[in-house]
Amino acid sequence: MEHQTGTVCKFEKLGVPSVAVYAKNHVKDQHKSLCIMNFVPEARAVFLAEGKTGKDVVEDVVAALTRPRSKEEIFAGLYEPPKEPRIALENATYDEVQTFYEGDSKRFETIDPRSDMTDGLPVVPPTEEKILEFLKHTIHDRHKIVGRMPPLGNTFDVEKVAINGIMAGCKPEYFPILLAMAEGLCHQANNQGYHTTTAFGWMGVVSGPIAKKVGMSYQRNILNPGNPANASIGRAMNLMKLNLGGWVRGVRMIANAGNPANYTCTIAEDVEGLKWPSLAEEHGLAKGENGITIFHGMKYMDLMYSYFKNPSVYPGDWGKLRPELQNNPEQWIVDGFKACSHPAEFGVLLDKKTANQYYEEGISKEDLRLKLWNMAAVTNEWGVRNIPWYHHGIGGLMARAAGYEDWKEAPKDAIFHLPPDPKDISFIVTSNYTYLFKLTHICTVSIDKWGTGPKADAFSKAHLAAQSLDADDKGKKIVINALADSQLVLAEPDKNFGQNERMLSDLGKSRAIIKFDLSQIPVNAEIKSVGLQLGAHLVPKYGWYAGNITIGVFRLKNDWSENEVSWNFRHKGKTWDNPGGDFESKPSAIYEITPPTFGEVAAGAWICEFRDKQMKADVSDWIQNPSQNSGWLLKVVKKEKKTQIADFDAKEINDRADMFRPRLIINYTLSK
Amino acid sequence: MNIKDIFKGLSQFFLVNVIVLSLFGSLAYGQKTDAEKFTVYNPKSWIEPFNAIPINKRLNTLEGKTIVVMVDPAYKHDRQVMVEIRDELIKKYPKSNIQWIEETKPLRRLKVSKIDGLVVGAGT
Repeated sequence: MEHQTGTVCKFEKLGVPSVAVYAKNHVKDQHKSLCIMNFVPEARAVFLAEGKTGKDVVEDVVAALTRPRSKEEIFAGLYEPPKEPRIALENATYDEVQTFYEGDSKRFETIDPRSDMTDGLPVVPPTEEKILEFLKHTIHDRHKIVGRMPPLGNTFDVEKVAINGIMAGCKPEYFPILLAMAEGLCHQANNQGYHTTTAFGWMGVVSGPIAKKVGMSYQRNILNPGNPANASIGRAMNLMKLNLGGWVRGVRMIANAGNPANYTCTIAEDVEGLKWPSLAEEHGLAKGENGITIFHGMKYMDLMYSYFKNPSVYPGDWGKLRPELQNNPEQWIVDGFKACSHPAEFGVLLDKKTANQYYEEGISKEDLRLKLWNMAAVTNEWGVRNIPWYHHGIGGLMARAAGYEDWKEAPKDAIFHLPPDPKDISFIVTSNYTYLFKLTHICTVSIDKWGTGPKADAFSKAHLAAQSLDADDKGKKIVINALADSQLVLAEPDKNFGQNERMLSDLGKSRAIIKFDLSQIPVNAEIKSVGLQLGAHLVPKYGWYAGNITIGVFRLKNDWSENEVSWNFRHKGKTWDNPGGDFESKPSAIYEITPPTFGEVAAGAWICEFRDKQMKADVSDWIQNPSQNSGWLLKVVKKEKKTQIADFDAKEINDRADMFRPRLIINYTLSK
Repeated sequence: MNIKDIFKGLSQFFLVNVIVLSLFGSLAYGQKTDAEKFTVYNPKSWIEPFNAIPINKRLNTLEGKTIVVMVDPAYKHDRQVMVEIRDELIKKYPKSNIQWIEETKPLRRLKVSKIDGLVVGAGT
C-alpha cells in the first residue's frame, strides 16, 4: 500500500493526474497519512465498500481524474497537518480511559479488531502526576524533541515517551532507559524492518549497572514473563512503535502471523563481573556506561551449547551429544547458523560463566566471532541447495561480501560465509544458557545521557550549543538554499546531471558540487558559524545497514554552470583544468557520517551537517569577493566496508521537505 | 429490662450491624463510593508542517487519452478489481489508449510525458 500510494503522489509531482484505488474501505486514514508523508496531502483515492467490484467504482475513478480541483487541492504552501490535542480525555473514569485508548476496535469491516493506541491490553492512565514523577529521572525538558520515528517519521518529545512508558506500566526510574530506547527506534530507516509479512520482532538489550538498579532480569527466565521491569520496558517499546512511529496492526504491521516478541521483549546483560566488554561498550560507549541496544529479527532456537562447554560439570549428559559436538561445541552454534532460512545476521546469547571462560582461555569476543564465521564457511552450491531464501537476496549478500557481483556469477565451489561478515554476529551475555537469535543490530544508545548525571548534563549542553545559532543575542541567522548543484560522474564524463534529484551516488567515481548565492549577507558581516546541511542516504554494500563514511568538502577554484557541468566540462566547451573538478587539495571540512545520529533521522534519510573553521573562512572570502564563489565539491575520502553508496538530496528533490534540500546556515553579526 | 427494651436493643444492634457490614463488605470487594477520575494525555506523535504539493489539473475527459492502469501482482484481490476497472474503461472510452501494467515499480517502465492519467491499485 505504501509503495503504491507513493507512486500516485510521485506521478502527481511529475505532472500526471493520478488516483489510488483501494480494494478495502478501512484505509482512509492511512491513505491520508501516506499522502502527507509524500507531501501531496490531497492526492485522490477511491475506496471500495465491502462486496463492491471494480465495475461499481469505475465512475468514481473517472471522476477522480476529471473532477475540477477544490480549493484545498490546489493549495501550495505551508501545510499544517491536523494536530491532536495534548490532553486526550478529561475527568474520565478508569473504564472510560481504557475505552478511549482502545478506540472503536470493530470499526473496520474487513480486518479483525485492533486497538487504536494500545497493544490490546489495558493501560495505566497517563496522568500529569505520573508524568511529573517520570520527569524527576531526567534533566531534559519535557518538550525537548527526541526524534522522528519510522515508519511514519513523526516527531515526538520527552513527554510523549513518558506517556507511553506510563501506559505500559513502567516505573519512573525506568525513564532514562525509555528515552534511550525511543532515540534508538529512530535509527531505523524508513520501512526497514517494518513492512514485511515475515515473523520478525524487536528486542532491546540493556547493558550496564542500571539494569540491576531498576530490577531487570538477566539471569534465569529472562525470556519468560514475571519481571516488572523487563515486561513493562519491552511493552513500552511496542507502544512507542505504535503511537510514535505509526506501526499500526494491519496497515504498516503486515506480518502473516507476527511474533510474540512484539508484545514485550527487553532483557538485560549480566555485566557484573563480566570480563568481556559489554554490548554497549563494544558499540562505543564508555566502560561502565549504561546503554541500550536495539535489535530486530527475533527468530530463535535454544542451544545447549554452553551447557556442554564444560563437560566436567555435566558428565551424565555429555555422552548424549553427537561426537563431533563433543570435540567442538561451537559447532552447535554454527549448525544453528546453517538451519536459519535467512542467515544474514545473528545474536548469540551466552551466559556469563561461558563468556568469562573464553576470556580466561585468552579468547576475545572478536576471536570467537571470527572463529564462528570461519567455521560457517560454505560453498555457493551448498547455499543453492540448503538456504531457502538464497535466490531472494541472501545469496547475493553472501556473494558480494566475498567479492563477487552475485551468487550466479560465482563458481559452485566459491566459499561464502553464512553471516556474510564476522561483524554480523553479536554476543549478548545474559541468562544461564545459550540461545541463537536471528538478530540484526540496529543501534546502541547511551542511557546515561538521558538521565540526571554528568553525561546527561554534557548532552544537554551540546544540544543547547547546537541550538545557539538561533539565539538573537549571538547574531543573525540566515538559511540559504542552494543556487546550483550537480554531480560529476567518471563513467559518463560528458554527461550533465544538473537536474538530478540526487548527487554523489557512486563512491570514488562521482563527486557532488554545490554553490550558494551569498549576496543577501552584508559585506560588513562577521561570520560566526557556517553549517552546510545535506539530506543523506547511505546504501549498504550488502545487508540492510550502512556503515560510516567520511566526506570531504573542498573549495572549488573555477566557476561552473549547473546545466552544463560534467566530469570533463565546467561550462559548455570549457573543460576543467583537471577532469573531475578543480578544487583545493586541503579540505575545508571533513565529516564522518554515522548513520544516523540523534535528532537527525527522518523517514528514509537523515541530515548531516558539515562545519569547520575553513568553511567559515571560505564564506567570509566569498562575501568579500563574490566572483570567487564557485562553491564546494564533496567527495568520499574514507568509507567502511559495508557502505557502498552515499546519496545526497539535490535541490531538485521533489518528494522531501525543504529540510532535506541542501542549505547553508550562516550565523553572523554586523561589525561597526 | 422488659421485653420491649430487649427488642429495642436487638433491633438497634441489627441496624448498626447491617450498616457496618454493608460498608465493610463494599470496601472489601473494592467498590468505591466515588469512582476515581483521570485526566490523561495523548500518546501519539505529530507531523511537522511542510510545503504541500498540489495535485495536477484534471482532464476534461478520458476520451482519446492515454490512461495507465497498474497493479502490483502480489495483491490478487486488487488485481481482480483493477482488471474490472480496466475493462470498463476500455468499454466506456474506446478511442482511449488504456494501458495495463503489472509491476511494483512502474517508474522504470513508464515515460511520464506519454501518459495523461494514472490509476493505481493500492495494494491493501
